[in-house]
Parts: sequence; structure tokens; C-alpha cells
Amino acid sequence: MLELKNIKYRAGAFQLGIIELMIERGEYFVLLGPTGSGKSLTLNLIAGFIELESGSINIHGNCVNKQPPEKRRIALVTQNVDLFPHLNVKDNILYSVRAEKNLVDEIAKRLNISQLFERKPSTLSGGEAQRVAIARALMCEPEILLLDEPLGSLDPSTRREIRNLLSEINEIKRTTFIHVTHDFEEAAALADRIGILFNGKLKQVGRVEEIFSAPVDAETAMFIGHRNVLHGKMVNIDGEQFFQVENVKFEIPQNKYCGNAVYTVNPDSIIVSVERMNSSARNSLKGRIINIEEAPSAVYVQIDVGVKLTSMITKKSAAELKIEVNKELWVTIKSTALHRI
Amino acid sequence: MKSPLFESLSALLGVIILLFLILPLASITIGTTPSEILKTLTEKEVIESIAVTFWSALIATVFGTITGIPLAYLTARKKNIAFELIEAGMQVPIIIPHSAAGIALLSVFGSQKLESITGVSFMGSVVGISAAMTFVSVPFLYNSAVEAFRSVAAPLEQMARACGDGPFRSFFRITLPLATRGIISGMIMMWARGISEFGAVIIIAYHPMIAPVLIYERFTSFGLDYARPVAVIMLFICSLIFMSLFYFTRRRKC
Repeated sequence: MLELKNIKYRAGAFQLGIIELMIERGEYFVLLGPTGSGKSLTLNLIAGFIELESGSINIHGNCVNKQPPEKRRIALVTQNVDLFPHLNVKDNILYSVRAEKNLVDEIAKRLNISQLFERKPSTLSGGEAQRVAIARALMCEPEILLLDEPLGSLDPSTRREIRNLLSEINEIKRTTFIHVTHDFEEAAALADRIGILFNGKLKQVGRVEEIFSAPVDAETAMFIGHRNVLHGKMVNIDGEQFFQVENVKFEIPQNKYCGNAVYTVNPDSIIVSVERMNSSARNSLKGRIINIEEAPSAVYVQIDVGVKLTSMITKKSAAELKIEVNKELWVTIKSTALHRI
Repeated sequence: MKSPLFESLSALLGVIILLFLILPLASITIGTTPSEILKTLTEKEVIESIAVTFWSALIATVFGTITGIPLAYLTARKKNIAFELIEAGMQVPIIIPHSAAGIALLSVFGSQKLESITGVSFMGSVVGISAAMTFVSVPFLYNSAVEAFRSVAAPLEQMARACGDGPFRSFFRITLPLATRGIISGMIMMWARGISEFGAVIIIAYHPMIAPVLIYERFTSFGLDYARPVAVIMLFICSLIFMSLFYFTRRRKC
């Protein structure tokens, strides 16, 4: 188990402050945040490349603050791969003093790199080099594998391949993985749990579905890809509570909140129709299409109903509704589909 | 795309500087007969001075490598004002007149007290000559080594540490092998600069006589014709050695 307690580190004007984070043995934990949020710095502190200013890092209950990197039983895979350029692939894999030589063939076979053994790193493709880097890290027999944007420089198909590989290795070896990325989709595909890091602060930790369904604030919601983040205020009309954004009022489940509020609604929870729907849904609003965005498996339709809302519909629905920019449509949202954050 | 006029002008200016360098060397070579060179090569004084020159420069280079490489590594890795000042300070021996460097060295190594403490005589000895050569030539090794270490990405060292290497082990397994070519180039430059040193050496040790001092002495005592064969021999030996070493380092690169 890895435990970070009251971690503080200042680098110029940037301040990293992680109050509490516990990562279980064998867990695949993803630290998610935008560029410059302190993700790589956190990894460097865990690895021991940078000395902590305050707080403590415990591995299996032992404080490792004073331990140099070589004593921490960690391994690292980075976006830049960082294979040793003067050594061939086999020597790179066997570099670690902890490397169990009898594991080479097994790991090389699993990662499909046996045929690359005699080649120098400069002759490898991005995907091959990353597989070799993962093999070298696994040969270190680490208790914690640190992955610093390992998919960042790969093309989409190689990224999928390495992503599946990482997931598979974590399942089999039950090594603790700490993976940093700015890509929510990548995080969602891999993580047991996600930590959201913004400006050096750990804002939220939870399972993927928890974070996506209940992001801690508007900034997080926007970052993880929520398309409908509505900033407004709670209003009371004739004893009934509404959420008002500009001049548009949304019916919401009754609650005791008041004042300013932020709500999200998933695009797939917004129904669009040519005629007003007669249903149990409490919010029916008329609007005009202002943008249409085709995704591989769906169509995102942005409609101005006084505020801009994005609905996700199938391509078949889009064809049947004959959607086009400036066409008028009705938007229907159940009040329970609006989530306060 | 470069214009023909630009390329022609660049080539013309390049030819001027090449002729400026080649003509004096060609002149002394052509002006010396093979029999003069063979006769000079039989002179014990000439052979001894060449041996002292090369030997002293080698001692200086070994000493400079052992003491200068660690400093170059720290300079490349530490980003603070102290090491910026050290890096700037290491250039001083290049820019000061070498006779002034000789006087500065004399003030330290010429004292009887130092000789009595160390038991080593610097004045008029190979040790003194090597000290003078080290002073004026070590910046060439240092600069080359600093650049070589800077070209080795620090994350590679971190990766080695993560793989279980301590700082010494990662230095010798990763950093040093990757910086070797730059360091060897620096050692060659230092050795070459040491061999050609005259100003600082003549103040510390006129004797035993190194080849540049011998050439100077023969020129002032007996004239150009007597000094020229020694100069040609030095030119030939140095060119041969340095071309071989540079060829070797280029092959390593390939």
C-alpha cells in the first residue's frame, strides 16, 4: 500500500499540496489533470528523484522519505521512453540489478519483443520502444510501477494496444500502478480509481463512474468531458424550487439548496424531438440547432434554448429528424437527469 | 534555398582563411629538405625535447581528466549561481596571456616552502612543466566534458536509479559511456594544447627543454634555418597523432 500524507512541495510559484492519498496494493490508480497540475512532480516525489519539503510517503507502512530511488522498489515508464541508447534491447531489459534473468523470456514473449533483442533503441518504432520500456520496468520486479503519460507520444492504434497491455499486466501481476495522464478517456479505460489533480491540489478521488456522475466542481466537470455544465442560481417560485440559468428555468428534484449552483446533464439524457413530447419529463424547451458535430458512433447536436445544451443522438435518429443548423427542435430533460455539483 | 552569389562569396572567404593557415605550414615544410629532417632526428637534444613535451602533456591530461571530469559533471548537472561562476572562471586560463599564467604559477609553485612540504620540485622539472600545461589547457577538456554531460539527459540517470543503481553505478554505467566521445575529444584538445604551450612553461621550466622552447632557443641563437627542421618534425608528428585520434573518435561515433 502507498500512502501520501500532507505532501507539500514548492517549485517557484507552483505549490503542490496533497493532503491524503492511499493507494491499495495491486490497484491501478490514475492521477488525472491538465498540463502543469503537478502530476509528474507527484510521481518524481514518489520515485524519490525530488526530496520532499514536508509530509511523508509510506510504502507498506514504512516511511521512505529518506530512501534513495534505488531502495524504493519502484519502476518508471515515461512518455519519452528513456531507453539507454548505448545498450541493445536485451541489455536494456536486463539492466536492473534486481532483474531475474529467468523472467526475460516470459516477459519478452508476453510483450512480443523477443525478436527485437539485438536492436538498438534508435531503430525501434514508438510502440516497440514503449513495450521495451515496460519490459525493463517489469524486470525490476517493482512493488509500484509509475507511468508518466506512457501513451502520450503514440499513434491511436498503438495507444490502444499498449493500453490493453498495461491493463492485462496489472491484472496478472497485481503490481500497484500509478499512471498520470491528462486524458479522461485513457483514465476511464484503465483506472480502478482516479485522482483529479488541479493546480497542485487533489480535488477528488473515486471510481470512474463516481467521478463522472458527480464531479466535485465545474472545472472538474469540464475537464472530464461534461458538455453541459450549467452555472445558475436556485429560485423559489410559489413554493416550488427551480434552477435558473439566465432566463431559462429548469425543474429539479426538490432540495434545500439556495443561492448560486452548478448543474450538469449528460448529453445522452437530453431527448430531442420535432414536436413537444407528452411525457413524465418535467423540462420541455424549444430551441434552435446552432451546431452539429459528428462523432464515430453518434451525433452531438448543440441547441440554443436560451442556454446552450448538447444532446447526443444516434446517426439514425439524426437522419430521421432531418437535423440541420437553424432547425427548431424541442428538448426534453427529466428533472432527475440534472445533477448538482 | 541559398543563392549562387551567397555560396560563391562564402567559398571565397573560406579559401582566404584556409590559405592563411596552410601557407605558413606549407612554406616551412617545403623549405626543409628530407636530409635536414633526418639529420635533426638523430640529435639527442631534439628527441629528448619531443619526449619531454609529449610525456609532460600526457601527465597534464591524466591529471586534468581525473580532477576535471567530476567538476565538469557537477557543472553540467547543478543549476545554480556557484556553478555558473565556476564555469565562467574556468575560461580564465584561455583568455589571459600565458606568460602571465606562468608568473601566476611561479608565485605558487616557485616557493621553497611548497617544495619542502611536498618534497616535489616544480621549478625546472617535468612536474612543473605539466603543472603549467595543465593550467593553460584544462579548460579545453572541462568545456568539452561539460557539453558531453549536458548532452546526456538527466532522466536517463533517474531511470538507472529507478532500476536499482546507486549514484556511482548509474554514473559509470550510463552517464560516462554516453559522454565518452565528448570527453575523449576534450582530452585530445587538452593534450594538443599542452604540447603547443610555450609562454607559461618557459617561466616555470626552461629546462628540461620542451620542443616549443627548443625551437625558440634555436631560432634566437642560430636563426630560422636551424629552428625550421625541429618545427617541421613537431608539425608532422602532431598532425599524424591528432588526425589518427580524430579518425578514431569519428569511427566510434559511426
